[in-house]
Amino acid sequence: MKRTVAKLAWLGMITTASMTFAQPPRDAGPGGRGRGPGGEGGGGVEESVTRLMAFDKNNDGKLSSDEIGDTRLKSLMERADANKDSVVTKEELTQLLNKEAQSRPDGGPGGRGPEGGMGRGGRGGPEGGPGGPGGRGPGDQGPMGMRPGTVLPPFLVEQLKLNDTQKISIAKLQATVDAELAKILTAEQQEQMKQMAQGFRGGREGEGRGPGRPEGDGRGPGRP
Amino acid sequence: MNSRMRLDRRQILRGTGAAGIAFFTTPGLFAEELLRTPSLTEGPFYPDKLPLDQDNDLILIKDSTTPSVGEITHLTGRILTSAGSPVRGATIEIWQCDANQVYINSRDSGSKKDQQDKHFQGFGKFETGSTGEYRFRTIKPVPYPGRPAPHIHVKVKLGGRELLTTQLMIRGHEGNARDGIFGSAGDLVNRELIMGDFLRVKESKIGEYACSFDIVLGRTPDDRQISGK
Repeated sequence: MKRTVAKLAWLGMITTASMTFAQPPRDAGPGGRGRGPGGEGGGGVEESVTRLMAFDKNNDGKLSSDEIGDTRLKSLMERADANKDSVVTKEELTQLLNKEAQSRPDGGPGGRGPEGGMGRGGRGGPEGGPGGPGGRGPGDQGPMGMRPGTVLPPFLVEQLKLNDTQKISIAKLQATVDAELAKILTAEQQEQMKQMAQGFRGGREGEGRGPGRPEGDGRGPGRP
Repeated sequence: MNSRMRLDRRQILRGTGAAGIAFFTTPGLFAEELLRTPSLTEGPFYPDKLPLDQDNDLILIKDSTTPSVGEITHLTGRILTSAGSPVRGATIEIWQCDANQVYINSRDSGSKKDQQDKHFQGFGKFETGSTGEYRFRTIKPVPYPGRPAPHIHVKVKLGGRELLTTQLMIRGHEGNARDGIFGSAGDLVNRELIMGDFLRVKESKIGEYACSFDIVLGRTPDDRQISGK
C-alpha cells in the first residue's frame, strides 16, 4: 500500500517534470534578457497571446466581440484590430503585443528596480514567477523550474492561475519539501546538486526565485 | 537514521504527489469568463488613522463647502466574481494622495503639513448592493514622487476579510511605462486590467472626468459564499 502511494507520488513528480520539459521557452526573442513585460514575474508575449486566445470559443483563430465580453479588454482589442474588421486574429494580437512589449526594451522596471519592496515573507517563491530566462548559456532553453523537489514549477503556478491562498500554501509546502530534502542529503550532495543545476541552467537567474514582484509592503520610500 | 530518512522522503513524495494530482483534477480551469484583477502592493500609505469622514465623496469633507483641489472624477464600477456574478455586500475602500501629492497618513503628511490639501478626504469606502456596483467622487490621481504613474489604491473586503488589494492607473498615461508597480502587474494583459479610461464628462462645465473600473475577484475559499449571496 505504502509502495503504491509512493509510486503514485513519483508518477506525479515525473509528470510534472515532463510537463516542465515540454514547456517552450518563454521568451523566444533574441537578446538574452527577458524582454517579456515586467521581466521576472511578467510573462512573455506568447503567454499573453495564449491567455487571450483561450477566449476563442469556436476555435477559428479569431477573437470576436462576442467571445471577448470583458469590457476591460475592449481597448486592447481595438488597438490589436489592425485592419478594423471588428475581429482580432492571433497574428494581429501577436503583432500588437510584440510592439507594446518592445516599447519597454529592458523588460520594464517590474520586480527589479532598486526601489523594489521587500516582498512579504513567505510569498517570495511562487509570487516571483519563473524569473528571467537566465543567461544565454547552454542552459538558456533549459528545463526551467527543474530544481529538484519543485512542487509546482512557476509556469504552472502561472498557468493554473493559483489564487493567493493557494500560492501561500504551495510556498509552505515547498518550504517543507526543501527543508526535508536538506535533511536527507549530505552537504556534499547538496553542493553537487547545486553545481549540476547551474550547469543545466547557465545561471541561477532562471530559477524563479528572482526578486519577483515588488509585492509585499513596499515599505521602502517612494513606492506608495 | 534509515527509518527517519524513509519517513521524510515519504512525506515529501506525498506532498509532491498531491500537487501532481491536483493538477489533473483542478476543475473549471478554463470555465472562467473574466480575467482576475491582478493584486498590487498596498504601498506604505494606507491611512494610519482613518478620517472621520469615510464616505464615498472624497471631494467634500463632512459639511464643508470648500471642495478639494484637483480634477473631479466620478469613479464607478462593479465588483464581480470571475464567473461574472456581482458581489453583494463587499466593501471597497480607496485612498490616494491629494492634488499636492500628500497622503492622509502621518508618515507622509507629517512633514508636508503646508503642502497638504486639507479639503481632500484622501480615503473613502462604499458597500456594494445586489448589483455589485460602487461609486466614488474623487480627484483624478496625480503622480507621486517615485511613482510616475498616477494611481488610486483600492482594497476590497467581504465580511471583514481582505479579498484584493490593487491600484487603478490611467490608461494611456505616459508615466505608466516608467512606473515600477505598473510593471509589476504582470504581462500586458494584466496591465490592461489595472487601467481605466478617464474620460471627460461632456456635459460638465467644470471639466469633470468619469472612469469605469470593474474589479474581478479571484477564486477564494469563500467563492461559493460570495456567489451564493
